Amino acid sequence: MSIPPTLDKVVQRFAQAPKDIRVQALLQYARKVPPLPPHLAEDRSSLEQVHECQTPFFLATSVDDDGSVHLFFDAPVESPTVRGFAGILYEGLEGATAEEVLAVPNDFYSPMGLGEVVSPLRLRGMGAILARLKRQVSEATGAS
Amino acid sequence: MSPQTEVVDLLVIGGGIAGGSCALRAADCGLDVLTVVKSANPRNTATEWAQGGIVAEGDEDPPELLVEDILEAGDHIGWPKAAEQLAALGPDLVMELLVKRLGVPFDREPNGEMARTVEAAHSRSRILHVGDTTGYAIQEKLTQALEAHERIQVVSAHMAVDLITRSHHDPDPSRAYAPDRVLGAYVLDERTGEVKTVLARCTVLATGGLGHIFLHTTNPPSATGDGMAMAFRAGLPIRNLEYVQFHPSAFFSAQGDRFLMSEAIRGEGAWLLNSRGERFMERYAPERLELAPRDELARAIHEEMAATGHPCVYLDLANHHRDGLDIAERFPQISAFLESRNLDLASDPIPVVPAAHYACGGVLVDLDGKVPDVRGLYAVGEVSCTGLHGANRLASTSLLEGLVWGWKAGAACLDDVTAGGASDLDPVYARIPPWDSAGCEDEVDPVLFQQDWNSIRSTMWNYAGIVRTRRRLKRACDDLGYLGHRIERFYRSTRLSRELLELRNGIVTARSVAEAARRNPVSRGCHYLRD
Repeated sequence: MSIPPTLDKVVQRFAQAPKDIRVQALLQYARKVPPLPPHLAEDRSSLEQVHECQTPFFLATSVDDDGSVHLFFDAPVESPTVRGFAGILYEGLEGATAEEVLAVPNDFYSPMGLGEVVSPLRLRGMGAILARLKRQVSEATGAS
Repeated sequence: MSPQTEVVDLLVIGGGIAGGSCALRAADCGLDVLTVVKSANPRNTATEWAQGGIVAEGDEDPPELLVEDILEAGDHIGWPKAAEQLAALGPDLVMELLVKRLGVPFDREPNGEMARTVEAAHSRSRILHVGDTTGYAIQEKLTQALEAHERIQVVSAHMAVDLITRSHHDPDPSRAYAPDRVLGAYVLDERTGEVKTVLARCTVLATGGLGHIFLHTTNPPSATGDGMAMAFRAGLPIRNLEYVQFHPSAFFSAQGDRFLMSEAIRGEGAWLLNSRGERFMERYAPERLELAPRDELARAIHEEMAATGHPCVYLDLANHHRDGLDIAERFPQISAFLESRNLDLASDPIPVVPAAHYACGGVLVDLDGKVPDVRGLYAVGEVSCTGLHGANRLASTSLLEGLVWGWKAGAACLDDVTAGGASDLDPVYARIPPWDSAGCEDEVDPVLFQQDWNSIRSTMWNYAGIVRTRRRLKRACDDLGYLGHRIERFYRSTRLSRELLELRNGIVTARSVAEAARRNPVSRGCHYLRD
């Protein structure tokens, strides 16, 4: 298990920040989630809902021939902390290889100190997002 | 105009936090305000009964976080703009109006800062409180301020009968071609039995909720759905009435007095037992047991009561609590209340039932509390549907919603009073007929009242309450439809009284809730459909 450097940078940024900055940082990451590309926005059938989140949260992945992973997220803008999780994963894992994504520990977010800024229920949602994302990547690479 | 007619700038029906903040703001803006309250003591409102607290701002608590909590609690069918307005204006208004102007004595830390607590589904400690009697403290200061304001007249023991609208009450044929307008209300003086015609440039419904259409409720006796029923009869838009929030555990007694048994009792380890002594939550939520979410608990208790045929379940802290807990010290208010009922939290299992707590829906309004498609009418507080609560309400947001929308409506109605040719209304006012009570001479038979209320409350409780099915809802609509027809006939022949009006409003609102539940096939938030 290991964390790719781009994701680790995000983790360290949170770990070192004081608590009030952490909230603001999470809200900033919420703004970094790009909108769904047209093919997913028009046909949502390939989006998977993360039922562990109380907020309607959807994700999709694709793996290029060269093994690099692309992430797509859809969450309401009115849910900035949950959307912030998506922003963190997008910043840290977009374009990473399938091996790198699969190697991310399920509790990678523990050192980030998010437990002080979001509720435990939402934090579990973060774990669930990663778990579903990894399962999709694993299925995609296993099938190819 | 007859001597029973008066004309005011603003008529506010209700004197809780929503109607009160609206009246204060409007009076500050220079309007003459008449506030009518149906209780003999204008302090007897649902606000007065609020135990919990009011949302303010926590540490590192940008408004986005409160918005997220509210919309999540409402299962994402709430209106984001309403949540954003509450989060943007609410905390400042609490400080400016409640703390600085009214001087509500919120609890403070030893260092003098406001004490803030956390409640279920809040991601921050952001709730201000005055012990467990927050609403009482707010209402006391609010009523004082209303009575002291030179532009506000507070009249108690006066109950609105119906809204006066151009479409219903103006005999001039041109009414059919003009946009509809609310012109005030017919108001019953409960002491004399006379009905006054109150004509108002602008009218505000602030009549609170509907808990008493259910067998068990945490609401004060005045919560009979009056505003919803008046709006329904006036043909105004009503939304989300199927979302009625139930509290899982209120004290149960045959006398019908209810008292909230705080969530904290379960937090300290109490078990819920059915009448056979079984810890039934083991069957419903084996992991979280008594700490399962409110709606799960309420449903489980409801099912157990139905299965055992017993009118309540029992909350047992006496035999099940964490080591070293001093029960009387931890729960002084509740212990004192139970003592007055000859019960002891430290030695007796306490009878509890789930109870109707809050109506998330109501008269549709915009961000100013204005009712769309009609002039001269606002609705604020529990009677309204701002969209804030969606399918379920986040704890401690109801007082704040009343405060914010009341405050905004108080300023917005200035436009209705001054602009748009309000003085052109004088000829319309002159045409409004006085109340006609011909044919309504029968004396009240209290047994009829009691029986009709029993029918409404048990029908709503069993068929349109915590656990709904299509068959139950159809049965509820059929039974209430018949009862509604009987009560309307009764109303047309009986001398007017507060009791009669409440019954007539109760049946209309009960039917509206049942019909709304029947129309909505999606089980969501506090509208729980088992099939």
